[in-house]
Amino acid sequence: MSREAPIETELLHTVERKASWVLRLGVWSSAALMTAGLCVAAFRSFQVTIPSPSPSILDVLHRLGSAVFDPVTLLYAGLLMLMITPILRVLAALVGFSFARDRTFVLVSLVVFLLLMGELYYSIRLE
Amino acid sequence: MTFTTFFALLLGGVITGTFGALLGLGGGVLLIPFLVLVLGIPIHEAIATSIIAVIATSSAGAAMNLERHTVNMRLGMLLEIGTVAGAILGGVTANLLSGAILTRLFAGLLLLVSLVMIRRARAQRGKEPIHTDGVLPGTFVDDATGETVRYTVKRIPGVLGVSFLAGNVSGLLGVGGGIFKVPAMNMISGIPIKAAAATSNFMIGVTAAASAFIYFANGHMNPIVNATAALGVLGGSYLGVRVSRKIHSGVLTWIFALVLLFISFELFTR
Repeated sequence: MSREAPIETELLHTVERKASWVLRLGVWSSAALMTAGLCVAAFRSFQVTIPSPSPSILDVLHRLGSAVFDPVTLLYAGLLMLMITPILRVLAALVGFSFARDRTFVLVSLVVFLLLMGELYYSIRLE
Repeated sequence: MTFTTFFALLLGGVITGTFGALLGLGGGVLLIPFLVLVLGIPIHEAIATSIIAVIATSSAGAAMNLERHTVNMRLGMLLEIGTVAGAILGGVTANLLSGAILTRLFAGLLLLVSLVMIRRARAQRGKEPIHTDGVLPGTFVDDATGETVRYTVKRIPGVLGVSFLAGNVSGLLGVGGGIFKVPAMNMISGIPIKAAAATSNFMIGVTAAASAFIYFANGHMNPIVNATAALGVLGGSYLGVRVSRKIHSGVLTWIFALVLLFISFELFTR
């Protein structure tokens, strides 16, 4: 983090491009899933049943794994995809800084990633 | 849900997404009042929708800003330690304070920040002081002037503390926290406002994701409402980032300050 040893600009730009790519991929795949879910829901005049209580994160993943593609599952899958996109971006930064051999920011990215993993674990336990 | 509600949600998302990307707000502070007051959606569902929209705004805007090198990525990652830790603690704090106290604290802070921003906008007259003797150097091309702006970051511990506070407020109220981080980065660390807004926008998605899973686990997600608003916000954020290239920093500071004043007034009079 000091002025004397910054990682080279081109390496930093490479990390930025990778992170940008991850964000685009996450946003577009999430948008595709949500648009598909909304189109099916609109075709049914939005008369779809939202399960109560809401499905757990693991339930949604299980339904997707079982190739169940009803509108509600597609919408939940799109939401989950959007929610994990920033986490994937942190992971991309962690990998990118590792390749750039920037130890300080490998550590910084790792701390952020572990905080998010702890939060995700807590949420799954809460369900 | 009816088709009218669907289109109202979509349009509301586009408008709040545009302003969110333009001002580094993340859209949450504008979306929640719209959902609650205009569409009558319960507050918990509105906050959950806002968090999803905030992630969409941040991710879409950050992808573009990263390629334009407006984001100071290393600073953003460093400050995310503060915002994520703050967001986690925010969930705990929310259970200790009443909603009325939180609302007034929030309104008071917004008022303070907006007044400081107005004072600064009047003093700088569109030209920002740039520091070159700090750390984590950044360079970007200001599309409004065509000039290459080089800057460094000063007083990181101060802005890290504000980031923790911003994350805390984000966890409490479901907003992105850019309202605190952008002025703090600009005033404390001497980062040009465009780089500060882009870096804040970059961080907001991670902060919101931390609390989004809690809302999901507590069953506050309505997938139709969330998805419609999020897609509207996505469209709006693309528009906002494109418009922001043509707006001068001084104008951006003024818009930001006036939006804060308006929201503060609305919260005080609730």
